[in-house]
Amino acid sequence: MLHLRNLRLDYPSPAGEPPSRVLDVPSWTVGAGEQLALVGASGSGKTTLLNVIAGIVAPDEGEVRLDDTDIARLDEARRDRFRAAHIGYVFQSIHLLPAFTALENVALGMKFAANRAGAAQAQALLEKVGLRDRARYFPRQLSAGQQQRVGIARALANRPKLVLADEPTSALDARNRDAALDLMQKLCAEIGAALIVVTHDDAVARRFPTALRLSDINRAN
Amino acid sequence: MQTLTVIYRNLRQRWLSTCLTALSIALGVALVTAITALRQQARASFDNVAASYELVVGAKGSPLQLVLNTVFHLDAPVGNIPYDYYRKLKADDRVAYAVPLALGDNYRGFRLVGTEPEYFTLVKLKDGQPVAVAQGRAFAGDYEAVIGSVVAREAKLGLGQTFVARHGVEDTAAAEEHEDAPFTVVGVLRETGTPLDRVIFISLGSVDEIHRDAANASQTSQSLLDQLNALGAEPESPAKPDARPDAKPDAHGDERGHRHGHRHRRQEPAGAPPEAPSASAPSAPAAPLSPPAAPASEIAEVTSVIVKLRSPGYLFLLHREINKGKDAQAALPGVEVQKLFAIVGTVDRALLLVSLLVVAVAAVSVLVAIYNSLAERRREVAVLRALGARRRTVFAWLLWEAAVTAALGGLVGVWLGHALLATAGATLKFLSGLPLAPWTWTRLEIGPSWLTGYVPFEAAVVVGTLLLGALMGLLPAALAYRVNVARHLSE
Repeated sequence: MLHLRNLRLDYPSPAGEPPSRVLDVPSWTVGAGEQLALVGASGSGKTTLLNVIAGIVAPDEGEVRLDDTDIARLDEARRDRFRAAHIGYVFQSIHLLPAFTALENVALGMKFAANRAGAAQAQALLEKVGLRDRARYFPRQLSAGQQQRVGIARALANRPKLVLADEPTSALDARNRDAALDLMQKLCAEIGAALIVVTHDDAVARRFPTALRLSDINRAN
Repeated sequence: MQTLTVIYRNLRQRWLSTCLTALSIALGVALVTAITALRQQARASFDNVAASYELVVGAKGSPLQLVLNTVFHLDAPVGNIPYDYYRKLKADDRVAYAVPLALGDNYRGFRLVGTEPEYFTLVKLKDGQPVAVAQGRAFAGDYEAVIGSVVAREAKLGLGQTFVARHGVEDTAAAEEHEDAPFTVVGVLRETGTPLDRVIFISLGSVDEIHRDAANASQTSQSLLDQLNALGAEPESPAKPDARPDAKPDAHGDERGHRHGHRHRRQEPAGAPPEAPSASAPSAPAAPLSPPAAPASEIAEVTSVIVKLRSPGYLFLLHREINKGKDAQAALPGVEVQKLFAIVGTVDRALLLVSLLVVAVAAVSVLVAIYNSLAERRREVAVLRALGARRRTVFAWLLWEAAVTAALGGLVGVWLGHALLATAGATLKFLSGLPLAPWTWTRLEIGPSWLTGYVPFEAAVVVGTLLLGALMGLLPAALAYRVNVARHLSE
C-alpha cells in the first residue's frame, strides 16, 4: 500500500559545505492495515520521514507511493487535498485548534477533504473515542488524555488509508498513553487503515507487532 | 463546517482584540457617518425651507444675514426699511404678494415676529400647503399671538393663554419684560418642520405698540426723576441711564431692525382680562378668542418683506432693480443657502478629512492586531495545513478575518453615527427648528450614478471598511500563506 523508493532528502548547510542528508531510504513498504512502530533517537529524522510520507515536505528524489499515487510527484495543492482525504495525522503536541469545540476540531479535517458527512460522523467518532458528552467542549476544557482522543478522532475523520502518529503519547501519563494507543490501534483496525507510530519510547514500540529502528530503513543515519 | 463559522470562531477566540480593533474603526466611521448625514440633512432642510421663498427684501447689508433672519429666523436683523417701501413693493404689478415682517421681541427665546395675517394663507411651504393656522384663528388685533407648534409644545402655551414677551430677539436675563403688555394666544400653526414652528407671530401693530409702551414707561420714570432732582431730593433708586428712549444701546440686546416708538397707548384685545398677569409664565386660559377691533397697522418701518412674483421671469429683473437702489436690498434665499453651505463646506470637509484619518489609523490597527496574533497562530496555521488546508484557504481565512473585523467596526460605526445624530438631533431641532431624521439612509455622494442612485452611504461605508480590512489583512495573510508547516508543527 505505502511504498517508498530511492527516497532522498537533504537539508541545506552553511555556505560552502555540502548539504546534510536527512533521509536516504532505498525501499520500504508498509502493507494495508499494517500497524508498526518506528523507533529512533531524537533528531534522527523520524518526524521528517512522516512529513515526507504525508506530503508536507517534498523529497529531493524518489517515490512516495500510496496505492497508485506518487505523492512526491503531486503539486502542493494536490498533495494537500490528497493528504486531507487519505492520510490521518496525530501530532506529538496534540495541536487541537483552541477556537473550536471538540466536535468542530474533528469536523474541520472533514472540511478539507470535502467530506460532506458533516457533524453526524464527527459526533459518531467522538462517541467511539468515549467523548460523547464532551463534543461541545473547547480544548482548554478537556484533559490531556481527552484532547489526544479528540486528536485521534480528527485523524480518522475521513477514514484514511494511512494514519501517521508522531510521538502521540509523549504528553500523556502511562495510563492515558496505553488508552490512547489501544484506541488508535483499535480504530485503525476497524477501518483497515495502516498505522505508523514513530516513537523514542521502547514501551510504546513494544505494543506493536512490528517495531523498526529508523536506521533499518534510512541509510542516512 | 462553513467558512463563516471558522471565521467567527477565530474572531471569538480573540474577542477582546477583535472588539477593540472593531471599536477603533467604529469611532472613525461614526464620525464620518454623523458628519455626512448631518450635512446632507441640514442642506436638505435649508434647501426645503429656502425653496418656499422666492425673494426677500430688507435693509442694505449682508444678503445672507437677511435670508437667515427672514426665512430661518436666525441671526440678528440687518436693519429696517420704510413701511412705504413695502407698500410700493406690494403695489408693483409684477408682485403677486408681499408680506412684511417686523422683528419683535422674544418669549423664552422664541422670536416674536410681526406680520400681516395673510402670511398664513399666502406663503406656501415646500409641500405646497400654506403655513395655516391649525387651531384657533389668525390674530385680528394687537396683543394677539399665533404660535408655532414647537412654541406651543416647549413653552406649554395653549389657546387663550397669555404670556409676557422679553425685549430683544435673544432670551437674556438682562432683557426687560413688557409686563404691562401680555399677549394672548389665539392660534397655533400646523407643524411644518421648518423654523416657523419656533416663531410667535403677532400683528405689526403689536410690535409697534409694545415698544411704545415700554419707551413711554421709561420716559415717565425719567420725568419723575427730573422733578425729584429739581426739588433737590435724592431718588431712592436711580433710574437706569439706558432706560431713556434715546439711549442706545440699551439692555435689549441688538437693536438693529428692532422698532421703538413712544406712544402711551395700548389697544386691549376685546374680551381680554382686565388685569393681565405680569409673570413671564403662561397663565391659564381666560380670554375668549373672538376677533377684536382691527389692529393698528400704520407703522413706520418693517424689518423685511417676503415677495412672491407673478412670473418667474420677473425674479432676476426685480432682484437687480432693488439692489441698484439705495433703500433696500433683495436676496434670493436659494442662492444664499448655497453660499452658506459653501462657507460651512470648508469646515465640513476638514472635519470629514479628520474622520477619514481616524478610520485610516483604525484600519492599520486591524493589520497590527492580526499581525500580532499571527505569532501565536503560526502553529495553528501549520496544523490546518497538515490537516489538508491549502495555502490559499488559510490565506483567505486570514483575509476574511481582517475584513470582517473592519466591517463589524463599520456596521457599529454606522449605527453609532446615527445614534449620535439622534442624540444631537433633538438639540439641533430645538435650536434651529429644522428637523433631523437620524434613522434615515444617507445618500452616497461619490461615485457613478448607477451606484449612487441605488446604494446608500451606509452600505457603501460597510463595504468600504470590509475592503479596507481585507487590504490590511493582506500582509498577515501572506505571512500565513508562507508558514513553514514542518517547522511549526515540531515547535
